[in-house]
Amino acid sequence: MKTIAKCSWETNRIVQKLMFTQFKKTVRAEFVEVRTQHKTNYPISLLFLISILVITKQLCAAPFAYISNQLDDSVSIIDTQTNQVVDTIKVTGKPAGVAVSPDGNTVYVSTPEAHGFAVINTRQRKVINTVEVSDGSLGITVSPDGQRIYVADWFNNSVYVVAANNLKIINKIAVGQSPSGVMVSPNNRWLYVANRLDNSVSKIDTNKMKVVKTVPVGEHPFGLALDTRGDRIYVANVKSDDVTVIDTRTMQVINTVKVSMLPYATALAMNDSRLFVTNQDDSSVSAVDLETMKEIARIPVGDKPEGIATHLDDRHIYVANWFDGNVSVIDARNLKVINTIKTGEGSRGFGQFFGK
Amino acid sequence: MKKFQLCSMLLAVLFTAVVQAHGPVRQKVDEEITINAPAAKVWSIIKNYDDMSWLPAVKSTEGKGGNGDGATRTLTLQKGGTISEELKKYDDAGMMYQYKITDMSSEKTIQHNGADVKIPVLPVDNYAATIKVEDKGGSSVVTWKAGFYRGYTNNNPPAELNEEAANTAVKAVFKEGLENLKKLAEK
Repeated sequence: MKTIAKCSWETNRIVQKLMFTQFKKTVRAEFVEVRTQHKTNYPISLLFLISILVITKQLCAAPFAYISNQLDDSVSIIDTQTNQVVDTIKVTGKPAGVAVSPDGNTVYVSTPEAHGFAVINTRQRKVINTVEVSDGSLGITVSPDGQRIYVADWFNNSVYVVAANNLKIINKIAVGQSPSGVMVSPNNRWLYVANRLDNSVSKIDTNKMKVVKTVPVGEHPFGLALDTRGDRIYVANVKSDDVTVIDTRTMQVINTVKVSMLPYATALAMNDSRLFVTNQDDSSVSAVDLETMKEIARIPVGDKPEGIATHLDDRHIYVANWFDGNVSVIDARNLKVINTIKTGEGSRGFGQFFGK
Repeated sequence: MKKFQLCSMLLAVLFTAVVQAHGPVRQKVDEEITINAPAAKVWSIIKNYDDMSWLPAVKSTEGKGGNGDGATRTLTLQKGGTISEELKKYDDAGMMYQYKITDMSSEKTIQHNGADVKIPVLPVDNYAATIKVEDKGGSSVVTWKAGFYRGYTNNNPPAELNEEAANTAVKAVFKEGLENLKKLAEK
């Protein structure tokens, strides 16, 4: 999915160049046709141009970032091509967690005060449904096939499984205390959840809908990220100021990396070679080199950075700054903030908030 | 059948009333004041982490570790009770420091949902704050901001420990503190 979606600005440029070359050819061809007074191949060229345009639009539709603004009861939609907020949708219930369906058509936003989540249609850019799940919904994710929505409930120590087609609860999986971040493996077989107050991460079989293994991590694990192949989990431990690296097959801890104060969530970039971690109380993002497992930079962002996710180009990192109500854009290559986008009060964006 | 419908409707109403509660949402207070005094002068009043004499609500401060990383202080309040805080970040050149509350005494105990609930001297939980002085060419602007949760971390908070109580209390301390700082600096 990452490769298809890897329609970065570079690719965009290549496509544009291609179109231009074809355009030049067309013009030249027509010129020759007119001179020789033969039938032109104009319709075919036009068709080619149109099809290129359509493909470009589909492949290169600017991915959108959906940022929940908890204190504003809203979700900001950022067009990442222009890095501007193109719409703000009212979502009541103190929106926190964000998940986007694989096709990019639906965004699920957990609403702890409304005891569930809101369903946003991204074409209409409005809430088309609200679902009551339980007392304290927070972490939310969608399965890679788009069929299921998993909602972690802070108070009930469980993860709810909701069918995406009819929004009905299929199951309730008992997990550890205060489940927070949730993520499904790329092959759709496993669901991982950080149990904040249990200081552990659990692996859930998505067929049996049961916990198969739980591993102790640092103190108060919260947000987690999975690498592209689903081999490793990187979980931020809020209280012990570090990140635990877990082998998903054995569910063993393979490393612990120190970061800064109150790390909240994690994101991977550049072919899983770098990890980025929001440090809430340091107003920074730690960049960790995954070869050496060492922090290589601490990038200053806004105040109280929380949610963090990687753009589909695998290079730009978007960070929601809770206190400042904005989003910092980091270039993962040169480790610098290249943009700051105003969003709303209490921006959280907890989860994989990017969508096609 | 009718009876059943009525019954379930009633149940639904009751159920809604019970689950009207929700998980805590982090709150913020952001106060600032313009002071007609040089930033260096303003900073000199507040720069020592173990001296909170500029804050009217505080009777005395006991500090450990000066302005170093992890320094602690215990504030004894005028109204009685104590707040313990830890220094998380200190930047003398940038004229700012960041701290968080690690412990508080409680001022009373109330009955709520059939259990004893202690009310801390500041009705907040997980409180972290930053105070910063900025030079505005002769005058200065001081910002004091904090992020925190309401004092009651479970569902259904009592009025003493809900979001409103937390926000009101923190706002009052910040306002009073900044106004007094202005008075002291402009003297």
